[in-house]
Amino acid sequence: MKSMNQSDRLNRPVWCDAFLDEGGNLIFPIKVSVNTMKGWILERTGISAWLFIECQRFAGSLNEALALLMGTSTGGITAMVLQHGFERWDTWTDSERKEWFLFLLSAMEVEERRLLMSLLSGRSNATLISKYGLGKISSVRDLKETTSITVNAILLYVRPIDRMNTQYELTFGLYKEEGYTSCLRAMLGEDGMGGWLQGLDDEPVLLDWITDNLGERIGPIRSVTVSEVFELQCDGVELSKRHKAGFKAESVRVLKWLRNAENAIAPLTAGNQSMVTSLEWVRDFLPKPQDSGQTG
Amino acid sequence: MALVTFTPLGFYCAQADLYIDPLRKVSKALVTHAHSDHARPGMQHYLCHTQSVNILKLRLGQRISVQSMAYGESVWMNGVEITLFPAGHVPGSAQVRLIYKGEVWVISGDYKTVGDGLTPAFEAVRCHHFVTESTFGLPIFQWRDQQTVFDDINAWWRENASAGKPSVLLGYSLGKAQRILKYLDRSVGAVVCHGAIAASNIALQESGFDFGEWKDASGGLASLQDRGIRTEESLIVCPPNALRSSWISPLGRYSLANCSGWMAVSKSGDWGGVDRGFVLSDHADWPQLLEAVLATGAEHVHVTHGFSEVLSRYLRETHQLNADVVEKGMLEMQGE
Repeated sequence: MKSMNQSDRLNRPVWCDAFLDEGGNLIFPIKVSVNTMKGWILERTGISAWLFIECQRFAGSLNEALALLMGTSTGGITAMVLQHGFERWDTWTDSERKEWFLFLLSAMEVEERRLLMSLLSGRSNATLISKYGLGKISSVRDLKETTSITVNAILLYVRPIDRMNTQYELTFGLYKEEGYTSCLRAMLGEDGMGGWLQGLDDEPVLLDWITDNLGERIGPIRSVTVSEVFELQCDGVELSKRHKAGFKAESVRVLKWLRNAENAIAPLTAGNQSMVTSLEWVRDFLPKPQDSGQTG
Repeated sequence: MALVTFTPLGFYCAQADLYIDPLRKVSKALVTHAHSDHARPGMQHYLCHTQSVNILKLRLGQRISVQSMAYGESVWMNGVEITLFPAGHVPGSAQVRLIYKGEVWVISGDYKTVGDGLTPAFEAVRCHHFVTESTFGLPIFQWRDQQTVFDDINAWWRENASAGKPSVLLGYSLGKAQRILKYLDRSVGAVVCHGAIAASNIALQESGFDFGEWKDASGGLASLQDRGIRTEESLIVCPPNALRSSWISPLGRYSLANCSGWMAVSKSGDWGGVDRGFVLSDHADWPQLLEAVLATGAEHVHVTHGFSEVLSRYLRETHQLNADVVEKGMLEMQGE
């Protein structure tokens, strides 16, 4: 839980403006995670991670830092990029875009290009993961398979973050043997900058609902009425012996509030699982760990 | 005790009782160049390069006590040898070398290592302690060849002239404006200068600089028509603060461009209302900064205004130099 927000932010996909596939055709837009993009830039430009962070902070956007750094590290920015900047992508013609991406691709290693292509074209759920953290030499890269799933989970507990009841950490459960086991956690409420953490249309209503339905206090955690079901999406799902649920998940996002209480509590009484996903299903869905000895 | 110390007043050489680019009133001040963040009024005696004297008197008053010296010429003060070397920043800008008992310090002021054809080119001076600026000390800042930038400027001007629209180009009145003037294509139309730039131009022309033909508009833009200058085809060079005055209002609709290193980044905040940005700076970019620091062979590097934390950390980690940041607040950060 300690770095949940941080990992959320880093693994959140960004929209890559466009890329060329192996046949040379433009494909866009494409989703790439911020981490992938950053790792790639660091390796290409040969600067250290802290220096890139400084550049990005000043340039104000990942795109612009990328355009300025990539152009220069390979011997001079093309006139096009300097004049218009990456931000003016919309005003470029197709041939100009293609020229820019051909230029980008020419700066990459063959193996890296193949890897990035497979990433971007969505043929595999592979993610580039550095073996070392920020600040160390990160030349060795590991290809690791990750999985994204979408499940229906039921709200079990909430933990108020502030006394004004504007933020909660929600704990969701999945169905297991005539009960619910807590598995996934996500943040909800105002993000302190005038927006909402999950961006749901009915997020304010949900906050009010939680306030009205608080139950027993268990330490800092409050239980709520077990009736509300949500559609969740999470990345980086793996089997894990460390977690009570038997799997781990990163960047849990609430997609939808399924406001249908009768169906939600059906599994407990009728034995079916019409709304809430069962834990067994998730475990069966996940790939079994290989005996490579590298997975932790 | 070190030969040069960093005091709240500026760089101070106690042995010679001399301040370099001081912030407050002191008795003896050495001024590296005449920009307002380096040359401040109120000192009893000024020491600067010969080509800076006119512009210094223009900005600080005709009655200041100023002594001048040429590049490579030495002055001795209580055993300290003081020599100026070209810094390539603006006309008359200099680096200062101080030698006392074998200890060599170089205070570079502002500089750029690539020559611009107007100011004498930067000269790397070997030393033990090197004081460098870091205004553009991030890897994202890498300038293009200046001729390609001036080609862009001339093309932009030609385009506006054919559309019957006056072109207004923003540039600082000392250095940037004269550098632009030197490379403008006079076949398109007349080059008109704001009063502040005109005064600098006259002072620099007296010092022996040449940057081509230009028209003085200190009498107001409305008077240009009487003198037979067509404003629709002319390029008007003015400092950024002229936009906030009524000086610009007779012009009607015009196309506005800014000439600055900050134009490399679209969100740097200097863009307010500018149609076109040309990346042109009198400061060193990232490769130039590294080149200059390494060329001096200095073991101790002191980094001042700008991205001093970034540059000093990079020099420590990558080049194993004793790089440190000159205390914050000692020198105010200024744009150009």
